[in-house]
Amino acid sequence: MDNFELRFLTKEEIYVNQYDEDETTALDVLQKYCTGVAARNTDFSCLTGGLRSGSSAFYYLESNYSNGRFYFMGDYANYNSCDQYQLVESYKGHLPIRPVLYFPNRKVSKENLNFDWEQKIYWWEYGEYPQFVLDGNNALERNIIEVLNQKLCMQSLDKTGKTYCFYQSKKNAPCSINYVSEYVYEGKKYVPLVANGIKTGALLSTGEKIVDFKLYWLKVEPIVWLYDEEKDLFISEHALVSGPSFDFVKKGDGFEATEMYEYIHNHLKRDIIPSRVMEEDKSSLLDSSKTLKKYVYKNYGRRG
Amino acid sequence: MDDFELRLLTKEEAYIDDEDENETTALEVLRKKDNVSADNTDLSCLTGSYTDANDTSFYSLQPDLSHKKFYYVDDDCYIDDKEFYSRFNAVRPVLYFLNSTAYRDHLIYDKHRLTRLKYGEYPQYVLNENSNEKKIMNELNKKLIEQTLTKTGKTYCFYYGESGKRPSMCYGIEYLYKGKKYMPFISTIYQGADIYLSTGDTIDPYRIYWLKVEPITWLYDENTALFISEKALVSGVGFEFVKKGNNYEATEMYEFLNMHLKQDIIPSRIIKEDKSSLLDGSESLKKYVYKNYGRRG
Repeated sequence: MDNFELRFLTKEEIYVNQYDEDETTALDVLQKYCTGVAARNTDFSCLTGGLRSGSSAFYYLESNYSNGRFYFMGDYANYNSCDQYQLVESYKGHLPIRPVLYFPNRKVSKENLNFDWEQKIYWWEYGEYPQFVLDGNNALERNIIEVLNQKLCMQSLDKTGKTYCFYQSKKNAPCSINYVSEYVYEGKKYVPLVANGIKTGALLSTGEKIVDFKLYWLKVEPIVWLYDEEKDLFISEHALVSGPSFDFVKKGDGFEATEMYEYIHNHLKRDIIPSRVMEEDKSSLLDSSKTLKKYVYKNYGRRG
Repeated sequence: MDDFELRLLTKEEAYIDDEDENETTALEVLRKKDNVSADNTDLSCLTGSYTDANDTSFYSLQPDLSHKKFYYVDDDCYIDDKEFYSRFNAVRPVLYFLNSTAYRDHLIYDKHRLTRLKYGEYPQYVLNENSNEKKIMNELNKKLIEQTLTKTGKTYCFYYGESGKRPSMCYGIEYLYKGKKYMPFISTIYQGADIYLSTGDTIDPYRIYWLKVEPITWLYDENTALFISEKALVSGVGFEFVKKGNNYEATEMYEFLNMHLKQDIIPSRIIKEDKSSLLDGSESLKKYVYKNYGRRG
């Protein structure tokens, strides 16, 4: 994959003034997109502690961190009343992350992008990440859940070798850094996660509340990015993950010294790079999981 | 371990007549302190029992083959009968030793003149998140989803499936963590809002339950030298014929008791030579070799 960078949206990039269009500075693609500047949480974002309002995520914005505070995208219900963003103290963190992706050394070619004729925007699938849970109410997915559960209990699932890093935030408790393995079953990738102390009241995409100690299977899926032609950058359609704060973890008082910076650059940036199935045996991917055992999986950004 | 057999109680062995004591034919030990009734273990609830872990179970008695019915003891200790295919009743096994009286040295007497024996082990009650067991649960969950738990090599067999459908035979894996044995169980069925585990919780689908593998307590009947399990251990087993013939030996219950439960109650063993390091964390346990007697292929 090409050299890319991740960052947050700025206040200006999401600002919409419904009374005076000339004052609106929001990115063109966000003005055209059906949910406007609001974004939906993925289930992974909810399970890692993401707050939400209605169906939209509160997500971080680029801020001046030197004063120990940060901006975040406000309540969707109020987003047309010029209250898109709010300023809070950094320790109140653990909000969802909706990354912006850009390529510093090259211009994006639109030939590789998809065009949505209805909304008249370009979008792209790039990288992958655990996003939404398998739904026990769907007969097909229920069968997969049961097989995955059974195999996990027997510790007989195949790992891809890739791990995802996340901070699981709990109400009134400090965040802890966690790594979770990616598994492959019948050619598809899944990540198991056990809910633990998530009390945000967030509903998952299945319509269910998060239940403590319940085992969820997250499908690893391509990340959908909305392309802004003018600025030549991509905005993640969804808020992907929650948990890290802006607490300082290194010497200094700039963004580079925060837990968030470390997370974005040392973890998330690597985690969106897909694990790969070695080419030589790709044909037998159609076989059952038993034959998958002989495969070798690789991922680029593998941590020790 | 000694040679033993398992069976179910007969109708006569569990029969109590409230109005005429002379009509009561129940085993002596069951007459004491209302022992005809038995509580469910959490595994019994998770595998489909009618009643709660802290409530009296409905447990199966030996069948009446000629009428394709089996008897069971209900929560009021009355005996009733059901069709062969019913699977909501629990299994409360009876154990007896063949050609051995060595158990006598291990009997435990109590002030109520009840005699017990701890013999064999089985997954029984779940770890409780509302106690100091929560930390172990979190550690076990973390290790399970990373597939780094240490297996003892033993598996437990039970029947589990959706209500109204023939349940499938499932195998639970026994793991060792910090010297103790656990079996994970992921519920897939909504059992209803009125079935409670020993923790006071209802059963949530897709939640990971960790069952502690604990010694089985048996009540000793001196007159007959029979041992009756104090708790109803597991549910989900019916009396349908699974082999040719229409005798008890051809039923699913017979097969379960003799081919599975009988092996499953035999403890997995840790090889002696490294026993000292059992006090260490699970990491060092990885180098151990575990064996169990009645291992299935």
